Amino acid sequence: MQHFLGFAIPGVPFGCTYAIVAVGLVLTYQATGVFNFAYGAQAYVSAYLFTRLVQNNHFPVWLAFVLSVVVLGPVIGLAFDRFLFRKIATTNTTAKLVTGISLFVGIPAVLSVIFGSANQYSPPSILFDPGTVYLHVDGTPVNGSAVTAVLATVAILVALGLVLRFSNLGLQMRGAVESRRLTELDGVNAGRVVAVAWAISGFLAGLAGVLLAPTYGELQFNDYAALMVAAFAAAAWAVLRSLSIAALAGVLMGVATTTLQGYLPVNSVWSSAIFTSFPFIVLVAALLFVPGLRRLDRTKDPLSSVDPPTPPSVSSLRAPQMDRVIRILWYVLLGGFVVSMLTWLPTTWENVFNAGLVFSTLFLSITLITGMGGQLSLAQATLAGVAAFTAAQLATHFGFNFLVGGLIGAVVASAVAVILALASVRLRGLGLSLLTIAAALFFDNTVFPQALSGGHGQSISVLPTWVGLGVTNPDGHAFFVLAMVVLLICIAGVQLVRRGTTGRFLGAIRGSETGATGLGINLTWQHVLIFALSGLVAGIGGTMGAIQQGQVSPGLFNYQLSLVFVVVVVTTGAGTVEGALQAGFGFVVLQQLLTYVPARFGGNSLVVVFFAFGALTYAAHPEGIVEFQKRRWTLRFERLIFHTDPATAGRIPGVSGGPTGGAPPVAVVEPAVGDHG
Amino acid sequence: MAEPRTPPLLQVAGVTKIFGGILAVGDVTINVNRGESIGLVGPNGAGKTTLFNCICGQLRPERGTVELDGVSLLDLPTYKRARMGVSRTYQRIEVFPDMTVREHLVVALRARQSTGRLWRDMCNLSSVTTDESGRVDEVLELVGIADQAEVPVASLGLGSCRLVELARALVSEPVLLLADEPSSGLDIRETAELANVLRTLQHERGLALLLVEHDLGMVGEVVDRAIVMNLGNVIAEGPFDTVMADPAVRHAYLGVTA
Repeated sequence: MQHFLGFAIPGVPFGCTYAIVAVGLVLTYQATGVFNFAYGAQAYVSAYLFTRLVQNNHFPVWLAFVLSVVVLGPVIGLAFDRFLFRKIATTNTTAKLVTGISLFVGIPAVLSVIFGSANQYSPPSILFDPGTVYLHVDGTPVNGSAVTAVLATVAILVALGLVLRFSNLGLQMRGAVESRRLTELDGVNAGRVVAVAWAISGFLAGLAGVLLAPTYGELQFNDYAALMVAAFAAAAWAVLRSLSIAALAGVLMGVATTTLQGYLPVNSVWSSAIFTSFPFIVLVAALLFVPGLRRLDRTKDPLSSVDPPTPPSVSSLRAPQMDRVIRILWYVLLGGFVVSMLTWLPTTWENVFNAGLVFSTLFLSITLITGMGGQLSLAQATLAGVAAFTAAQLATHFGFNFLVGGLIGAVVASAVAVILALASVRLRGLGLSLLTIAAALFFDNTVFPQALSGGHGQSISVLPTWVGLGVTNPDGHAFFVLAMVVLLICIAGVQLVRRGTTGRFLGAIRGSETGATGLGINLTWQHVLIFALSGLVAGIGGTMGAIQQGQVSPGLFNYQLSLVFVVVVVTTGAGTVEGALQAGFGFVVLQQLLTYVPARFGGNSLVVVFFAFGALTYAAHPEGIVEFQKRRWTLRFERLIFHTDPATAGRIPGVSGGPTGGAPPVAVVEPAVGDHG
Repeated sequence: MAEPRTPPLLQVAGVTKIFGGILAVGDVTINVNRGESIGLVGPNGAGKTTLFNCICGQLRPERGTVELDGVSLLDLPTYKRARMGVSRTYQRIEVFPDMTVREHLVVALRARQSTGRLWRDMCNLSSVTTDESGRVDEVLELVGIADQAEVPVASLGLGSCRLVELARALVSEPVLLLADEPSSGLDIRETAELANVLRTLQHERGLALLLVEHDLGMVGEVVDRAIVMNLGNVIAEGPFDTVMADPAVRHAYLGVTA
């Protein structure tokens, strides 16, 4: 018994923070329909500021707490609502997810731009000293952070429960999530209700942040990302609905993790892996076995049919003669680029553009899965890593050529993607994204460091002899030629799939799954197929990335990169091949340009900030902000050069076209499936 | 219209569907013969769309059987039923906003034939053939939207979208068409044209039609037989005029007490 308590009690503070975060997630989801991906970042901001105020500015703990949690927490929540989520309340799950992911990636980057990249050490506790033992439970010592966490959690959850149970607010929140517009028609100020929910959830995030901080010696954003997966798991078991189940699941997970860890052999692979893998296992189990999660995205706002349709891509809008001009310009650009790379460009910039080619290849996998498949996969860097590690292992142990090994690795990555696809056959949108990020974290924490890189989490250098052909020679152009050929092959493949029947079927599925399956399209097969193709391309990109970097290491392929990749591609346009190329080159060129700016301004963090803020426009321009600007300019040029107006030619929706063109669709209130009529 | 001795094309027997204790469809039995058109009418909430969903596979009934040409459909997923020749249009339109009208029909054609092979895409063999293009044009002409073939569907009004759905359902040459309120959102002229199209189809192609519709005038023009549902049950069946004169039907549907 003493053993058990000795293992279980250290899990309580973790469990309490999991519970608070899970409750905050469920509360936001219930009130606003937003699954707040950025919640971990909110918690981190409060914890960071709290620690900084106490350690660096010597504020008293209570004042730092008030400023960073009581004030800043709700302010961040309200800002999210006022400036972002309120504007996209009626958009689809993907837009909300992308916004959340952009914040999750962007906020820590903003912090390091503002305060520099130095970490904060020994975060203080808000009430009791973590180093002091306050009481013994059955002989097991209980320290200050556990006492603080339990007291704060109980107090907050009881207070929250009372407010939601006995005030009008709870009822109005439930109405607001169904349809904010319908609730407003009933005379409820839905905006205020939603704002209150955001403020409360912001406060909870801050509280969880400062409660968790003292359990770590050093404040790192990664720990808060891990916290998020645990909270996701707890919230998933509550089907994003029940606050009490979310809280209970959170506490149980904290306790179960440390208990399991205690009973496993000390210093074994399992013991260190369990802490990060356990939340993943619980989350995947929830996604697979809780049927309610499959229906999360199916609820539609009854007033959604009054929304305007999304604009089609610019390539389908412009006139054929404009298409010809643009194609010629592309060839000129390509020719100029190849000649420049082979002749006058300095090595630094040749390396930058080589990296651009590699990233473009990798980003094509996002064009496939997100642009064509309509799903947000958050494990693309992981798939790239699977291929690179496979190639490295095959080269180390069996003497395979790295390129051959990379192809085999890409097939393995494709197989991993197929497993993910099969596990997520019934999931869409949010559920699928959660499953993929859980998989990414699992690979980061368990598979990459333990299995693939030889058990030490060390990087493997890519030896010149592995690749041959002088590809790794820094003075030659062999890598450029290789990367260019690989990219062109991938582009050709993606374009063929896009224009072919598969692309058409996927377009139909994106438009309406019900309609597509009613025509005879096998949704499961198409889902698996696009995952497989995306995994293959990601794997090829990963192998090229490993050669370009000269090494294979877990850090090159972690989940954060997957998130950044999504944010970058979405900013430029996930729907087109051009979007992937712009993302690939934009990403590396911006990084290089920022090396000329003093490091004080954040360097690489600033790149992430740029793209994160770009991606925040996703809801307004789901085709990508670059794509949006391109459309404006293309059409402007078209008018100028050819004197044609796409609007009058019927190529712009809602402007003309047919006798009934432009008539708004009437609102149909009943759902199509499961309707009784 | 059909030979009386040949077995029915669609046999729905004792189909029951319950949503959380509410009986949506209760023990419904319907037979549809080849080339026959049947109007399925009844007030909102009668269970008409639910019955459609049970036939197409979007819902699985608690009890009962659904057979097409003697083959049980119950264990087949929706897409396989579609490939067997069961097409439908939807009450709440289900079009693909990224595509033009023509692309909708090409997708439907290929989905029915299940010719979507990745290797064909990769060998650039997936462009639209003259044969496909001819069939698409024919159906567009028939439905009367040939002039909108290249228009993105997102720019069309609700009425045109319904016609696109109809054309999409027809291009794959189904043996059975389930049309769910095809005239809602259409004006009087368009409704008359639609009725005309449906009649022509039946005569020229021998298509069996199950039509859910509130516009009784149109139903009367198109169908051979009518089935009236109310609160999940069939309350009357027979020739359209006879059924509409039935006091029980008038009470259920029109609120008129006999």
